[in-house]
Amino acid sequence: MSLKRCLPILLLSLSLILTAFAQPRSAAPLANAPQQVLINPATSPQLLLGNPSNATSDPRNKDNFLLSKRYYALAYDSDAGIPRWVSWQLTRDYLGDAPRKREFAEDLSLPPGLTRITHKDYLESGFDRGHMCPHADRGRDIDMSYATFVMTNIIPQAPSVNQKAWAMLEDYLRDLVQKQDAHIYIIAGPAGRGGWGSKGFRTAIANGKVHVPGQCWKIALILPGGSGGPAADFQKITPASRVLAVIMPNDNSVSYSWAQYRTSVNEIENVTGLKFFDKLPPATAAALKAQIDTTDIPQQQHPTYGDENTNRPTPGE
Amino acid sequence: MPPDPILDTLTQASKDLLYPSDSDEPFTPFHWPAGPADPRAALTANAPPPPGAKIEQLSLEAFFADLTEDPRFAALQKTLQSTLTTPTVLRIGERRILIYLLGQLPDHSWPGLKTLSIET
Repeated sequence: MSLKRCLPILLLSLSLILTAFAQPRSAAPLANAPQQVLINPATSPQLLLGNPSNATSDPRNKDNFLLSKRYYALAYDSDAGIPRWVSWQLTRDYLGDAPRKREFAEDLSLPPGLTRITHKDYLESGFDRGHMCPHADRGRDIDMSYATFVMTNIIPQAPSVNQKAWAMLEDYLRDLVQKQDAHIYIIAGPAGRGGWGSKGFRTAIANGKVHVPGQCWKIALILPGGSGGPAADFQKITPASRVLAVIMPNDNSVSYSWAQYRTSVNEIENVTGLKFFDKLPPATAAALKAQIDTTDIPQQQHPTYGDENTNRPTPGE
Repeated sequence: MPPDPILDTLTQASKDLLYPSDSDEPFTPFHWPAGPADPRAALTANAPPPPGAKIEQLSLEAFFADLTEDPRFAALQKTLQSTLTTPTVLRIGERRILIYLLGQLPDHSWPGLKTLSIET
């Protein structure tokens, strides 16, 4: 048999071998996605800017428990049933069209003694399951996507916050990555207590298990892209790097425009008691934390509501 | 209004069921008048989507794929398959996505269920 005649058979065998190796990877994550692998926080790309609450993985540290997940990291407050902060890296490598998961998973990586929140804890609460690290920031594959549908990555957000201003801010940041190859390091979380959902004011849901924050904040350090990983990105940070810090009320009267909620990292520190950018040189951190972003934000297109009639009541109505 | 057995069937089959997403939304039955066999045409005639809205069509199997662990969703899928001709699913919009599960009856009318999915 000539090489020309064998070639298709060789290629076919090769592809079969490759498929066989690829199979476990694509088939396995479904069952195990929620119980993600924990990685070393000291070298995690998700924690490049630091650990804002000095969270640790000591299970006695119930209100400040560190979960250094592969695709994002967070400090979990078991007494509040929500994260104190969630931190993640955003580059083009994380983006894609992987499908969503519909039912959110409880976080099986939490040790015994820490409260596990479930999908059903938010039922009929008047608050959406608001992602901190968004599904669309982790769309490269189904494992990544499903990793965001875990309840330790969720806070109760007023429907209008989740679906309007917060969603538009997420879109804005992803746009910078998609169009300009920005590398962004993001930290987001709750602040204060008590928000207005579609059923009125609540300080907690799920019989007190899940605290409802009064505000939602996000900090994004936006760096130029290019090749190189987190270490290279760290070298790019200067006192003049762009920081976008936003804090908005957890209130169903919030609309699409988020730019009005821009503030400084210092202000978010005052409100939350957290300490940001502790891995950066002090002078650089101080300059970045004092910034209030004034970049002109172009008008963003927002999707038409599926049905205005299903729009839920806002506090004033 | 005279009783409508298909509306009763759909109401019973979706009773207390909530569609899971960022939120949890009930199913509402509807019954549109007879029309051509194209579900998008039925939608345009009876519940016209806003101009430029994204419309996506998927199979009933794809829609129920990871939901049927809950036996009530499995039962709902069976009911739709056994009562409607070529049932299908339409998703309209982004973030607040209207979902229509619909199919035809022998008289060419279009019964189905409507719900909402919050996807941010």
